[in-house]
Amino acid sequence: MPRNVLPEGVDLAEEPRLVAETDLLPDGRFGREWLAVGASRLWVIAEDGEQPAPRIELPLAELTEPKVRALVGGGALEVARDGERMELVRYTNARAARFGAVAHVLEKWLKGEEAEVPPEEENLCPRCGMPLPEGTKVCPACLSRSRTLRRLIAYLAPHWKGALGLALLALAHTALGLIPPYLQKPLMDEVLAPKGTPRPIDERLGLLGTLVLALLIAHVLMSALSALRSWLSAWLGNRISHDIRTRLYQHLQFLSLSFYDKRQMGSVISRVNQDTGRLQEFLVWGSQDLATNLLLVVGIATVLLVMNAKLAFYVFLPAPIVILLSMTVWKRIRAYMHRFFQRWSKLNAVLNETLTGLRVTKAFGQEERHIADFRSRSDELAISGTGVERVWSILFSALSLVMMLGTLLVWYVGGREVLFGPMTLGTLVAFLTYVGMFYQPIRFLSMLLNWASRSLAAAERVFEVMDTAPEVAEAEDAVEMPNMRGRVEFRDVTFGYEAHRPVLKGISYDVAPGEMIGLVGHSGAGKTTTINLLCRFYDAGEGEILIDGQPIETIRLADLRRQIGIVPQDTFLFAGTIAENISYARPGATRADIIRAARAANAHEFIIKKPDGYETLLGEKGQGLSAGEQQRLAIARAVLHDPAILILDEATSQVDVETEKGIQDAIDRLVAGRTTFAIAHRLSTLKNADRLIVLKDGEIAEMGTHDELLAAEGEFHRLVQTYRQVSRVSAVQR
Amino acid sequence: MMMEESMSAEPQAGQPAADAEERSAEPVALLPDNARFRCEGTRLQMARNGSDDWQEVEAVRLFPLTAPSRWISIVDDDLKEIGLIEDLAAFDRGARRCIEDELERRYLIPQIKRVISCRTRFDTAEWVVETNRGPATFLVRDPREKIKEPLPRHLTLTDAEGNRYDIPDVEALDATSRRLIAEWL
Repeated sequence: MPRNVLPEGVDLAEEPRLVAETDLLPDGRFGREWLAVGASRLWVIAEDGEQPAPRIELPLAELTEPKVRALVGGGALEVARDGERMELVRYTNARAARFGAVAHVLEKWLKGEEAEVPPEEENLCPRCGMPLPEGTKVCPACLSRSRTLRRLIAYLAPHWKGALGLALLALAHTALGLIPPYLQKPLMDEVLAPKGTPRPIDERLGLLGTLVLALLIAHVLMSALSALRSWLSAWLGNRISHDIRTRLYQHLQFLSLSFYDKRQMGSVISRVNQDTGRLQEFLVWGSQDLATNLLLVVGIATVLLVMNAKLAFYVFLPAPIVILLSMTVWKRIRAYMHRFFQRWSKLNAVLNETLTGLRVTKAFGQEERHIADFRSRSDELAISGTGVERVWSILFSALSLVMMLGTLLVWYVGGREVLFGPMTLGTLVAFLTYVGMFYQPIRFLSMLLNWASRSLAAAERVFEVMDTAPEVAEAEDAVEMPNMRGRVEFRDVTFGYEAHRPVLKGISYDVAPGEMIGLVGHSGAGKTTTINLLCRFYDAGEGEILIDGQPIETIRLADLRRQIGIVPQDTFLFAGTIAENISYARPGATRADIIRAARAANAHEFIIKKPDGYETLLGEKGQGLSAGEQQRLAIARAVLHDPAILILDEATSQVDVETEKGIQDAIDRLVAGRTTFAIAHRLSTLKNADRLIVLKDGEIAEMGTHDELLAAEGEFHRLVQTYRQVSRVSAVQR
Repeated sequence: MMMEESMSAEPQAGQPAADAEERSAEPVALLPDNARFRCEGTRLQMARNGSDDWQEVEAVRLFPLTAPSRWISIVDDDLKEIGLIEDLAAFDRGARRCIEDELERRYLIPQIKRVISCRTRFDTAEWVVETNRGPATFLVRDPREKIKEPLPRHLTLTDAEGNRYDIPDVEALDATSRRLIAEWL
């Protein structure tokens, strides 16, 4: 675990302001070095032999341009001395974020500016040293299982009556299950094969009837209890997992976007889907199996001990072997099963991909290749499937054999007792039945425990998400702003998605109510980031953004979102009707409002051509609509939303001239009277904007009207020139 | 304002520049008769033959898995290609050494020579291995997802800290290593 402190025994002339440990040596082998920076000097300390000693010592005054060089699988920190670049230290990806921050601070120091060394984000568990999963402080290995269990049980609280009933049912069921074998004893000893002098035959006949009736009643009761228990347990499990699932989903809706930046959407979805599903499966089936099996083992062991302690000992003898063996069996089978399912899903992926891409396959005449590929994968699956069955059958046969050995032992020892000792045949038969019942749950216990442990892990993953606090949260004393005028001020705003890599650097400007701003710049210049901050998807690191003079963090989120509208680059349409999609931000809108909005967006004309008009059902992601139609629906949505501040992220995708004009008209209508921020790609937008802000590498390069900027022949002029060239080329191509 | 900005023609918003030279499909081949290489400290330098204008360059493998010493792209500080070396063997030993050293410096991904142990705790596997860069211990979360086979028999493992470890040919490992790995395939 890297510690950013100097090793023992290193004495530097100055107290270091910064120490950072590496994990690679200059020659690329694994090893440790330390970078230390003092008030006027810089050292690299190597662990040479026994005593660590400085390998490099440089005066800060002679150094310039510290920067990291990205390598494959790591990086290097470099500085320039007299214009010559030199490498200071190298490190793997594990330390890349740290040295990124170090380079940033060092750069400021070398320029004579003040900078704080940010604390290293601890991504190792303080208890066991294992790296923590991305974006969490919960160590899966150290988290106490009992805490998770307690938390799960807390979800039981509202349904405590059901839970109590379930526990009682389990107890009753287990107790009932112990009765039938016990009745076998009098059945043998008193009725069928009595030892010594038998009772009169009609008394034996009567007893036979009574005992069989008792057995019948016991079995009927057991069946009834079992049905009741399954039903109750299913109800309870479904209730609890419903509670957990909805609470998780609710939390996901309110989490900041930065949470989703750090994760793959697939893994988040699988938490809602798979982890809660796994939890439910266990809560419904596993927990009751676990409880009854445990109770059964204890119950039978007690009965066996009471009946005959010596024989019971022979029964318990193979139990540890059964437990051990079933544990290994389970492990092996799981590995095989996993391999089988892995291949299964790979085959599915191939099937999906190749059939989706069938046009391409046919166009290039590659059918045979895919057939061969599919055949070999299917063959692998068949082999793997046979493997699972083989392992399953062999291992389970072995297990049954071991269990049978215990039974045979009881037959032999018990048989001798019956022949030469005081034991009756009835006791032996009852005993043997118990023995059969005893090994079954033992065999399943290890599997169930495994299941329980994996379900707890699933529960932990779910709780971990629920414990993540939204980074953008509403202040307790948030100000209500139901009516905004739309004055926006950026004051020295600096922001980066990662702290050491600012995307916006000290941006300041004022926007008057109703003004239209065009944001211009290369991709990565900070246009989208500006928008993200304005919508408060993220909070600015330094500086502040004011709306009508009010810092954005102090405005009630509902009011902020109500009065900021976005027409995004990629229109996202939900499955539903056109009308529902237009009124997405105002679910209560009247039909008249919806039609008015659609007309304003020039969408009405294409909607009336659809057989179902405004009630045309849209598939996922707006299936069935062209790109231009989707854009116009997005505009209609914004018109209906009627925001004070409008954000327009223009689509780069080209549509035909006619459609373009329709969209442009609609946008002109929408923009009127609102403060507008447009990420501009269209020439017309650039011309219509009151002011253009040209961003370059997170800073404002130029600001002014379209004509002013063109006349200045600066950055904007250059961008327009490139743009013209490109459009000339694409015009020729079209 | 920033009028003194360099006038290099960068493409706008992800659109390709119409620069004729960039559009040429034929890469600039670098051969001993048009390029020289030398090492200066930890940097690789290149000069065109007939010129003493030494320029700092970097070397990038285009097929790092299957052809580590062929198809080497020589790029400048901004990773813009200067030229392409199809086969390092064309150059004399001195130049070759310099380029190989540069590649060695750039590609830090260790290659696993031997697996000593693999212990699993929950969803995490702790691997103790011997690599070409020395012994290493690392943790792989969700091992089945993080062990990939980009080419037949070529495996890559990604650990919890984002570091990658390669096994160029799993069949070339000893039996114990193979057994420990096979459990995850």
